[in-house]
Amino acid sequence: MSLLKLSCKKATEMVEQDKIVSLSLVDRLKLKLHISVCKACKVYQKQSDLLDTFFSKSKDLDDIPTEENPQLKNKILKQLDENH
Amino acid sequence: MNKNINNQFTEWVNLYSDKLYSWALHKTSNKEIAEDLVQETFLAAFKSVSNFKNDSQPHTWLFSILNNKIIDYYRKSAKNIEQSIEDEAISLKSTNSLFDNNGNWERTSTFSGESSDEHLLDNQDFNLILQNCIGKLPVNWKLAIELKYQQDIKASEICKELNITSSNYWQMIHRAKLQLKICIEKNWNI
Repeated sequence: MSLLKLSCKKATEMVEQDKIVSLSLVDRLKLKLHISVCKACKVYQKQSDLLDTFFSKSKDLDDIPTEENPQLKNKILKQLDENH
Repeated sequence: MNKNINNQFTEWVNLYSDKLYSWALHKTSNKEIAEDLVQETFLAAFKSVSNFKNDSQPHTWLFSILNNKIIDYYRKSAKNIEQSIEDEAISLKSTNSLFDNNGNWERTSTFSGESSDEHLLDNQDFNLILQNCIGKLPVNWKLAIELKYQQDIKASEICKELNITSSNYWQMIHRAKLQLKICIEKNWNI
């Protein structure tokens, strides 16, 4: 039984490991068992997925509100003018 | 020819500089750095305009130049070894405090991560808090996240770039997410 026992720290680390390099069958079984009985680790797993969605989603310029910066615009135009 | 290029660039600056600036600000959380990066982007674009293919979208091209500038900025910051080691040590300590000596959770989470929380990502305040929390991560953890998600770079290349083993890499992503968990729980009250 101790072979199957994982600490929460190790289990949550394995959640991330599995997303990068697949876990071995034994490790995946251990993780699955741990998460089935550990509510806090199940919550971590969901939070981890949510963060993944956020990171992958915020890839596009249109995802964020536009902040106007007229001074910067003028500065760049002036700089380009000097460089042409 | 030159006049045409100048007119084209003036138009691009007018059309896209605010969007690019907002993106750089979103990524660096620093007004001056964001302004510098956008300026450098237009300058680099101006110098390499011959690489621009007319069948592609100018904002996509400018955006890719800016994203490379942002990654370079993170790389340079990560090279400030003293600061990054110090930041990492502080974050390691704070993420260690989530677990007891046996590696089990010290306390329960207030940020539930339930499936309904998918909607959290539509919440402007939550997004701002999360972005702010990302801004506070140690710079090499932030760089790992940027390379992984923004640039779609392979794990083996990220390890090479950060000079770490693959187990260090997933441990780093694990630590970064734990740190974000702490930061969100501190700032997000439902």
